[in-house]
Amino acid sequence: MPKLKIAAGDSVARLAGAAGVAPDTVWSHPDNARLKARRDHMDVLAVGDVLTVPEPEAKTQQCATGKRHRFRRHGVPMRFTLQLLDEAGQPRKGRPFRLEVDGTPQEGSTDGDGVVQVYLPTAARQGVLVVDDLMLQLAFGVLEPKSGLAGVQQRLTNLGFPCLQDAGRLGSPTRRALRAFQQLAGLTVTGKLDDATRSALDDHHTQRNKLAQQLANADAGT
Amino acid sequence: MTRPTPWLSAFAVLADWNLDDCPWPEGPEIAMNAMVKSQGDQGELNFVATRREILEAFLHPNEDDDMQGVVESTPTVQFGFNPFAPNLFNVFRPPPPKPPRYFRALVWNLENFTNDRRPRGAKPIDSPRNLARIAMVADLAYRMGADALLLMETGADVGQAMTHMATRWQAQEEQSGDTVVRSVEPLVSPATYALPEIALAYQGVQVAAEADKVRALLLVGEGYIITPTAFPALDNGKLCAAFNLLFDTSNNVARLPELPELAGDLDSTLYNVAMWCWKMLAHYQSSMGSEADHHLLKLVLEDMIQTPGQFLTQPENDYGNFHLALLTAFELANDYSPSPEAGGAEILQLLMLAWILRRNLGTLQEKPSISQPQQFNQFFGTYTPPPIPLPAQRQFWLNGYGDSPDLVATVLLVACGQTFDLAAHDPDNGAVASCSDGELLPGGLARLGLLTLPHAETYGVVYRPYSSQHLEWFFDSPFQDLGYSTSGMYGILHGDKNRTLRAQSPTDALNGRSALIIRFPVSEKLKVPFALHHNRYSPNKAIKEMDTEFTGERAILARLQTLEDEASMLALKDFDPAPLIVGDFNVPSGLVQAESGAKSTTAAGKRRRKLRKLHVSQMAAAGYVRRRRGDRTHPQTTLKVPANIARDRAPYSEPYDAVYQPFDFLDGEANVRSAAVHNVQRLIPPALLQQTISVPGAFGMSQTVALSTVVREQMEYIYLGIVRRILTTLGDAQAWLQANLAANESKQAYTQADDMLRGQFTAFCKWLEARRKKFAELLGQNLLAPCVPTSLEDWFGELRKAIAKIKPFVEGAKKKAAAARKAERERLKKEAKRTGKKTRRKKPQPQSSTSVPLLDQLDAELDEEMQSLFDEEDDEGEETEVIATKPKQKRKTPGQERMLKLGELFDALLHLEQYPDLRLWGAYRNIVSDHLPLLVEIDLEPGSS
Repeated sequence: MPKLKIAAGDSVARLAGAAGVAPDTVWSHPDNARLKARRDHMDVLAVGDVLTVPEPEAKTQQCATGKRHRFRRHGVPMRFTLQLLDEAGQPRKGRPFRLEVDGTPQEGSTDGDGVVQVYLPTAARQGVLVVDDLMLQLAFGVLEPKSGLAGVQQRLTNLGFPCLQDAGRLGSPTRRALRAFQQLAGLTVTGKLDDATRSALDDHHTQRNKLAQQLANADAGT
Repeated sequence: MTRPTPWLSAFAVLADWNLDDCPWPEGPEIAMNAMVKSQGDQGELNFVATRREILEAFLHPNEDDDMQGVVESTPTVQFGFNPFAPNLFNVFRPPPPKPPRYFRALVWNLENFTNDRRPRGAKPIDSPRNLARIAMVADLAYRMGADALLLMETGADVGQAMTHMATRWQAQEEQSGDTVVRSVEPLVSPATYALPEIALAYQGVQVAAEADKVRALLLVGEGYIITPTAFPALDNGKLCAAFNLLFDTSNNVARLPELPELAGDLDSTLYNVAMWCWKMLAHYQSSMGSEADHHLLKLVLEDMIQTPGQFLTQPENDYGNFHLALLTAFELANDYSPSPEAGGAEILQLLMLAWILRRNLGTLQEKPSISQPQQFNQFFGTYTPPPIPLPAQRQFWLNGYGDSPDLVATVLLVACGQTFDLAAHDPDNGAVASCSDGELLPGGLARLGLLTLPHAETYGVVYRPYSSQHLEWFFDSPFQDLGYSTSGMYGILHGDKNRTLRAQSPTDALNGRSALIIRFPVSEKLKVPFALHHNRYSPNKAIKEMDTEFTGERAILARLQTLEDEASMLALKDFDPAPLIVGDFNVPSGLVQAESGAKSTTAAGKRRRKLRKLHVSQMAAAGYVRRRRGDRTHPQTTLKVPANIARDRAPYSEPYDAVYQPFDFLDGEANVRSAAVHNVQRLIPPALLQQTISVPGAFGMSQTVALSTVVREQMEYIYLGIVRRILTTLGDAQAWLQANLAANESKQAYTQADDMLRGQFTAFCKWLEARRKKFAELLGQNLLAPCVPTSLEDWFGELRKAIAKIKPFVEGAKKKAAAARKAERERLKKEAKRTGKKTRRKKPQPQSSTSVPLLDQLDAELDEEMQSLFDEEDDEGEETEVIATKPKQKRKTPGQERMLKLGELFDALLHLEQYPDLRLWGAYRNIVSDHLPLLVEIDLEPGSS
C-alpha cells in the first residue's frame, strides 16, 4: 500500500483522484488515523505529512446481461469556494468573474456575499481569477495547516496582512502582520503566535463574512 | 530621475548622490557601558529596571520556540500565488494600501532665513535671495522625496517663509505625474520661550478702546498702524479722562516717568517736549509736582509762545484760538502754585495737544469749530475751551522705539474712548496680518523693562503627510510636553516646576532657546519623534560667569552643557519614545571626534580630550549617541566663507549639525540612517537653474527671474569682492611705500621697488577689471564651465615676485617700530621713576611713516558687504579654536593680515575661474545657507527585503 509524502499542492482530494479512490476512503483508512487526528481537514495537509493511499479495491458487481447499467464514480470534482473582499473589507457583490484553470476558462458572477463557487478537476493546481481590477493567482491545495507557521503566514496574507516574504521565519513582517490581525480580531496585541490567534485566523479564513464584519466594526469604531 | 518613495530608500535610489552616510556608531554597547559606568551601580539598576522589557525582547527575540516542533518543514513559497484549500471556504482580501516603510526628514539650518532678531544677513522674505533659497530648498526636498523639512534659524516671519516653501514644493508634487499627489503643509513652531499672552485685534476689526487694549498697545510699542474712526472733537476733559484711565489701569503708564527714555532733560526736540509733558502730567496727577517742575513748565510755555512755529505750522492764521489758549496758560502758570487742582494738568494737556497737532494735523486746513459748550474754570470763569479739530480718518504709526513721536499721539487717541482699526505692520513688508507679533510683543515688554528679552527662536517645518489620515492624526493627537499641555503634535520642550531647562532659562547660557518636539505619525499607533534644536552662542552674563579657568571655552561649554541638559531632560522625564535629537549644535569637531594619530600632549589637547570624554559620557548617560560616518569621523556640515571656499577647494569645515540617537529608538523597531548631502551639483543641479522665481519689481509689479541669474549674481559678487580686496590691498601697499619714500629712508631701494610695483599694479588693475568683465560674460553663458584663464597665472606670478620685494621693507619697518616702542617704554619707566607718577604712553601717531603697515583705516572705508565677506565675525562656519590655553600671538593689524593673504586671494580668484564646483559652493553658501542639509531616513521595517 503506497505511502505518499505530501508535497506543496497535494491534497487528499487530488491524490485520491489520481489514485482512483474516493477521498473519504483515503482519509478514513486506518493507516491515516494519526494524521487525521492532527489535521483539521483532509485537504489542508502540511508539506512532509505522510499519507497512505490505498490501492483501488476490486469490487465485484453482479449485472444482468443484455441490459444497460449505469455506474457513477464517487466524489470526483473538487469544489473551490472563495469570498472576495475589497481592500476595505467590503464583499465584491455580484461582480462578474473569469476563472481560468489549466487553460479552461469559466465565467460567472459572485453572489450576494462576494463569493465565487466553482467545481474544478482534482488535478487542478493553479488558476487565475479576474474580478474587476483584481487579478488573483490561485494555488490550490497549497494552504498549510493552521498549526504551522507557514499556514499562519498564508492565512494572514490571504486576509490582507501580507507576510509571505518572511516565509518560514517569525520575523518583523510576520510579527507586524500578527499584531495587525490581533488588533482587528480583538485579541491581545502581542505580535506572538498563540493558540487563540491561530484559531481566530482559521475562523476568519473559513467563515463567510466574519472578516468583513470585523472590518466593518473596526471602521465604525474609529 | 528616480525619486525615493515611501517604499524605496533614498540611499538606494540616490546612490550616485554620494550621500555622506552616517550609520549608528559601531558598538552601541560601548556607549551603553559608558553610560552605566558614569551612573554607577544604581544607574545600571535603574537602566535595567526601566528597560527590562526591551532588553528581554532583545535577548529572546523569538519566544515561539515551540514552533520548531510544529513546523515539520518549510514549504516552498510560490511568490505571487495565493494559497487556497479546495473543498473549504476561503476568504481573500487584498492588502490595504501599503503603509510607508520609510520616513525621511531633511534637517537644515537655513542661516538667518528671514527677519530674525539678528540683522546680519536677514532680508525680507520676498528678496531675490530668499525667494531663490525657498526654490532651492523646496526643490531638494521634492527630489529627495522628503516627508518633512525641519528648519532652524527662521525668524519671526517663519509663517510666510514656510508657506512660500510649501507652495513651491506642492507645485512640484502636482507636476510630478504621481497618481496620488500628497499635500504639503507649512507648520510654524511656537517661540522657544513662553511669552505673555496679550490679546490683539487685527486689520479690519473695529475695537473699542479699553484698558487692556491700551495696555497692549503700550506694551507692543512697535509696528502697528492705528486708524481712528468716527473721531469726535477732542477736548481737555477727554484728555484728562484719558490720562486718568491710563494712570489707573496701567502700571506701565504709572511707570512712564521712571523710564530712562523719559528721564532726559528737556531739549529742543519735539519728541522730548511731548515725553516731558507725560512725565510732568504724571507728577501732577500723583501730587508730586515740584517747584522745579513748575518752573520748567513755565519755560516750556514761554518757548512755545515765543516760537510758535516750532509747534504749530501756521499758528497765527489757523490756530489762533489755540495760541491764545497757550498765552492764557502761560499767564495761569505764572499765577498759581503747582497742583493738579490748580490746572497744571490741563496746561500740560494743552501742550501735548499742541504737539499732536503739530505732528499729525499740521497740514490740515480746517477751521476750528466754535460750537463747543462752555466750561467753567476757577481762573477763567466761564469760557469756551479751544476746540481741537481732528480728522475722521487718519493713520498713526505706533512705534515706540527711539525718537518715534507717534507713540504719545497714538496712546492719547486710543485712550480717548474712540474706536479704531488696528493693523499689524511689518516695517519691511508693510501692513500684514499678524506675522510680526511674535517679535513685537516681547520687544515692547522689554522696552518697558517688564521682561528680560530672551533669544527666543522659531522653527519652521514643512510636512508632507503620507495621506490625509496621517494629517488628521498629526493634528488630532494630544501633545503633552514637559510640564505644558498644548494641543497638536508639536511643541517646545520646557522644563517643569522642579527643573529649568538650561537652554531656555532667560538668565542662563542660551537665554530662551529650546528644542521643538515634533512627532510625525506613520501609523495610527506609531509616531516618529524628533527634537529639533539650534544651539547658538549669544554672549551674556551667564556665559561670562561660567566656571572655567579657560575663558576661550566658555561659549563651547555653554553649548555642550545646554545640549547635555536637554538630553537628560528628555531621558529623565516621561518622554516615550525618546526622540532623535537633530539640529545645529555648534559643537566643533575637536569636542566630538577623537584625535587621529598620536594624542596631543599639550594642555589644550588634554583639556579638549577631557571635555570630549565628559560630553560623550554625559550624552550616553542620557541614552544618546551621536551618529557618525563609517570611518568613525563626523561629517563636516558647515561651510567656510566664500573666499575661503574658493581658495581651499574644501568647502566644509566643522560637524556642527548632527543626529543624536537614543539607544532604544522606537524600541528597536526602526532603523535610522542619516547623511550629509555633500554634492553641490545635486544641491544646485543645472535643471534647477533653469527654473524661475517671481520677485517684486517696480511699481508693485512682479517680474520673473531665472534662478541662474540669482546664482550668477552671487558668483559675481564673490568674484568682485576678491578683486576689490586685491586692488585695495595693493593700493594700500603702494601708499605705504610712498610714505616710506617720503621719509627718505633707503631712498634708492624704495624708489626701485616702488617704480616696479607701480607699473605692475597699474597694469594689473587694468587687466583685473577687464578680467572681471570677461568672467561675468562667460558666467552668463554657462555657469558650470570653467572660464578658461589665459594669462591669469602668469600675471599672478609676476605680481607675486614684485610683492616679495616689499617684504624686506615691511620687516624693516616692523623692527623699527618695535624698537621705537621699546624706547618709548624705557622712557616712560625712567620718567615714572623720576616723577613718582605713572605716565601714560603716547599713542603712536597714525599714518606715521615708520608705523607698521598699513590698511587699518581702509577697513573703515570698505563697505559693509566687503566686511561681511572677509572679516566675518561668525562663530559658525569656520574652524573654531576651542580651547585657548596660551596667550595669543600678538595680533596683526587687519592691513597686515590682508597683505599676508594676498596670495590666497590670488588663488581664490584663479580657482573661481577654473573650478565650477567652487563657484556653486560659494553661491550655495551665499544664497541658501552655510550649513549642509542632513538627510534622516527611518526604516520602519528593518530587515525586510
